Amino acid sequence: MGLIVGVTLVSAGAILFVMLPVLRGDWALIERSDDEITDVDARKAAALRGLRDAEYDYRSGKLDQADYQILKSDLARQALEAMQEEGAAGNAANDGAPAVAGAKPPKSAAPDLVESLEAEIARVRKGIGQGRTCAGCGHLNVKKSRFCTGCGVSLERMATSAGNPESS
Amino acid sequence: MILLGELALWIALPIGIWGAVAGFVGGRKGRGDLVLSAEYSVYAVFFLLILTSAGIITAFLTDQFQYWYVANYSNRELPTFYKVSGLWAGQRGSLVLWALLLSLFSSAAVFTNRTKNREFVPYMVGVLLTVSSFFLVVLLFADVNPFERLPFAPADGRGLNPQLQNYWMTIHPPTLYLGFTAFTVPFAFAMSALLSGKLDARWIVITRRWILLSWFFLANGIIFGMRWAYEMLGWGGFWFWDPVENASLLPWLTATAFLHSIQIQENRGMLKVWNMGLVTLTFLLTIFATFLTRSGLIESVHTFAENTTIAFIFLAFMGIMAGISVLLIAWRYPLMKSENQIQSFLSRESAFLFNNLILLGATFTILWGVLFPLITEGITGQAMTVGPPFFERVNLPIGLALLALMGIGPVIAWRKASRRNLIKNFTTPVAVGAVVVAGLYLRGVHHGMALVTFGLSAFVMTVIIVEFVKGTKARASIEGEGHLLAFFHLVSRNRRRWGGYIVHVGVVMVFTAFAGAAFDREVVQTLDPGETISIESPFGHEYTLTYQGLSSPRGQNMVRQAVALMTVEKDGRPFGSLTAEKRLYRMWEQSPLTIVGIRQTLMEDLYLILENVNDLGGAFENEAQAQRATFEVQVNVMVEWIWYGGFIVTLGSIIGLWPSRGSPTTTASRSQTGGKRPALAARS
Amino acid sequence: MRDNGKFFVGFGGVALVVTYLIWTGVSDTMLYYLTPMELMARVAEDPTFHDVGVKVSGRVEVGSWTRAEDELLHHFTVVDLEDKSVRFPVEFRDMLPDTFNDTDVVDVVVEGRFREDGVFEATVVLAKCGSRYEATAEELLG
Repeated sequence: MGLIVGVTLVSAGAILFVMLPVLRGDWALIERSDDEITDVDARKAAALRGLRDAEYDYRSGKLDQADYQILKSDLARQALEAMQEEGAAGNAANDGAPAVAGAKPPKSAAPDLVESLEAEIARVRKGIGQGRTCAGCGHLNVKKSRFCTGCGVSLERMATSAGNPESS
Repeated sequence: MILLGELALWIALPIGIWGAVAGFVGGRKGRGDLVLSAEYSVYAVFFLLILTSAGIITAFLTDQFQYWYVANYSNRELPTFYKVSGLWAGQRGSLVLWALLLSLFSSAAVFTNRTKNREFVPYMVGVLLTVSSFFLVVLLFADVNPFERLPFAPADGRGLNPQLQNYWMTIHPPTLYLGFTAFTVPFAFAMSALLSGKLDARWIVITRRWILLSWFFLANGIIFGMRWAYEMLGWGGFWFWDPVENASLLPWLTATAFLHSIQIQENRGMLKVWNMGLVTLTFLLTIFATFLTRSGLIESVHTFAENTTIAFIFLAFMGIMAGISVLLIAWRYPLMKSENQIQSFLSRESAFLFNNLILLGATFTILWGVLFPLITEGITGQAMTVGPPFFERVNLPIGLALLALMGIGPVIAWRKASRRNLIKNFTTPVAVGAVVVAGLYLRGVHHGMALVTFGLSAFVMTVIIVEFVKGTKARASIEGEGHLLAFFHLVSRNRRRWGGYIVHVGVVMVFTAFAGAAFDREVVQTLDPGETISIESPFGHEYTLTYQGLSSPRGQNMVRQAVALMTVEKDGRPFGSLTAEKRLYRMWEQSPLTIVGIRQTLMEDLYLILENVNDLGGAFENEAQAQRATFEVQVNVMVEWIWYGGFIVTLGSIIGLWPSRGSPTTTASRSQTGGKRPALAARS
Repeated sequence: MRDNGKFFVGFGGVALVVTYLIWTGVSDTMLYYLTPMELMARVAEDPTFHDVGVKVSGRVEVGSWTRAEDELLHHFTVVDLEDKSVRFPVEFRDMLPDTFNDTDVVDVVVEGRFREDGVFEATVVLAKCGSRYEATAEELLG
């Protein structure tokens, strides 16, 4: 007797649990959240990772200076492109989050693109060193920010472990 | 409880099928409610399989011998330990374990993605539940129901095969199964990416940890198997190229290739189709592994009893999954064009590609060897087989090539390495390798292949150590940190790379141990108490073992032991003692079990086997004249390097698996969800 | 497409090497996989078959196992699974697996060569307790 009760309870419970969403009209989120990684994020992370690896490779003697410069500008361009895409998407969507990934995209054709790229990368690097670039989303925050305005993570926590772009 | 467990199996199947359908339809039609229902189905199936497993274990613990499965793998006297692990002692229960672990990982995949990667979830859940449903169908309809009952209950069961009565039984199969089932998740993500057309950089980034997790369990499971064989089989060997052993190696090889090739896709947007193929192949090989073990298609000492129903069902499943995957890949081919090209032959991309090709070559070779009897019988009517000589012979150059690549990979830069830099960076490691080879040769090691292996191992170790040193220095100078802190940050900031290098160190150690096996020695002698047996090790040590006698301890009901005691001297100095046994388990009296004695040191193991007792019956009665016995003593070289190497592989994997804060895939704030399931707009 | 070209060259190279390794490996080490009946038939029609490496699967004849005193030498008889009259003696100079015995129903696979004197000189013996892994209902209740 107890068995029949137990079995009925379990079966009914399982079926009810599973069918609940359909019965009640609860919907799961099946779109990408705005603060999730996007393809752009992934590419940007890859480019920044590549930059960091390239620097290490150069310093440990695996790369010539010439090759390193070429590689660096190539990767910097990729990173910047990704940041630009993000910025454009952020501006277009304007979902309340501030302009993402703090790049000031050179909207007008800069006179010397390489130079501005270098400057940009230098700022990003400096931002990393000063703990202003968020290791999570890459957003370059205003000095003395405590929290990243891109994703909300505590920057102080990041700073104490000398944030570098994560590659996990 | 037991009946509940049985019925849980029946309830799980319809839920699994419903969830699979709901996942696919929900994803296709954008029906969030169906998708949620599908996700709940995953949890429900997991819960039900827990009930099923609990039911089976309860049946064992309460000696319910009316169940065929319990009667076959247990008896009243069996220690509780083995009654619990009876769940996976045989074919039927092990299928339940597989289904259970698969549902565990499915639930984990759903849970960890409840607020992110949502666009991949519907189809992922669909695929996961499809595979789960397959296993449920097998359990319920292929004549392998673990709850099958006998007409009436026997008084006692047959007990567990003594060869399975050791603690490895509780560790080795579950670990392997964890590895096999975990890989279903990356496969499900890949299929989801194909179905949804979201074939950009994301699915790789998302699944990387799952791949590493599966690889980690597989590697450990394989090493546990080797340890089991070494300790329990009593032959001094740890790998026999048995078809079932090989079957577990195959997905590990392709998963290793995959771990490397995804880096190329992540960094350079290349090899997209290749990676899709690899993830599918690895998944199919996990199913193939269990298929081979169960179908009895290839003769093996490991296989369960032959069962043609299962063989056909598994074959059909593999065929269907392979077919669908190929179709999906072909359909989405236009979306998977490479974004870049290989710029130079001298590049890390190129090295990784070679790594992949070689690993796949090894996979194909082993698969060929395993299936050779079937192939030859099919074509010529006469079955031919190949054994360890074939596998060793073909895999030796492959192993050496892989070893070399492990030393080349870290040194060669991405995209384009300059020849001059390469030469500069290889000078020291090559020199060290050469010195090692020369030194060993002068010390009397003339075995060609072993010398090459040792030289390459030294080469690779030097490369890796230099990498750590250079990396630390570079970081110290860039970030202005002290060297110790720099080292710590170096590894923790790039766990994947440096964890990977640590894994390589472990692998090098294991390969070195394999080479050491070429120098093993053995001696066989029949002794009376008081007599000695001597053996000289390849390192020049002289071991002398004095046979003290044979004794049979009293008291144990289920097991009778005849224990031989030897006192050992190494180079004339006392070196402890060793025991070796013959054990007789009640109800398995025809097959006494050989228990070896092993004395392990870093460079060599002293391995004692009680091969035969002339009068075993008398020995069990402690008769003084029944002590004459034949012993085999082995010196096995560098076997500990395998276990230590395995430990280091584990360490490196854990470092690679460790979640890092603030990585793009683990964005911290989820303000809109607060950690709970986002139940958004109700349907109007 | 330089990318594809290089890739295929590498692929082809590795494929060639692997094929060569497999080819020579197989031809040098492969063994005939036979039943005792097939073995006898082969030997009858081709006397040089005595020098060929073979792997034979059969069953251990109950009560046929003897072990030399003080020497690592075993003798037992292997019987065909289908035709019990087809059998041959085996000589083995290494440790037998624990699963081996001549009382239960034990299936063996012996690897070696079948000598001219009618004795199979085995280098490898694998034993599997045929009926013991999974008992039938009768065996459990009996």
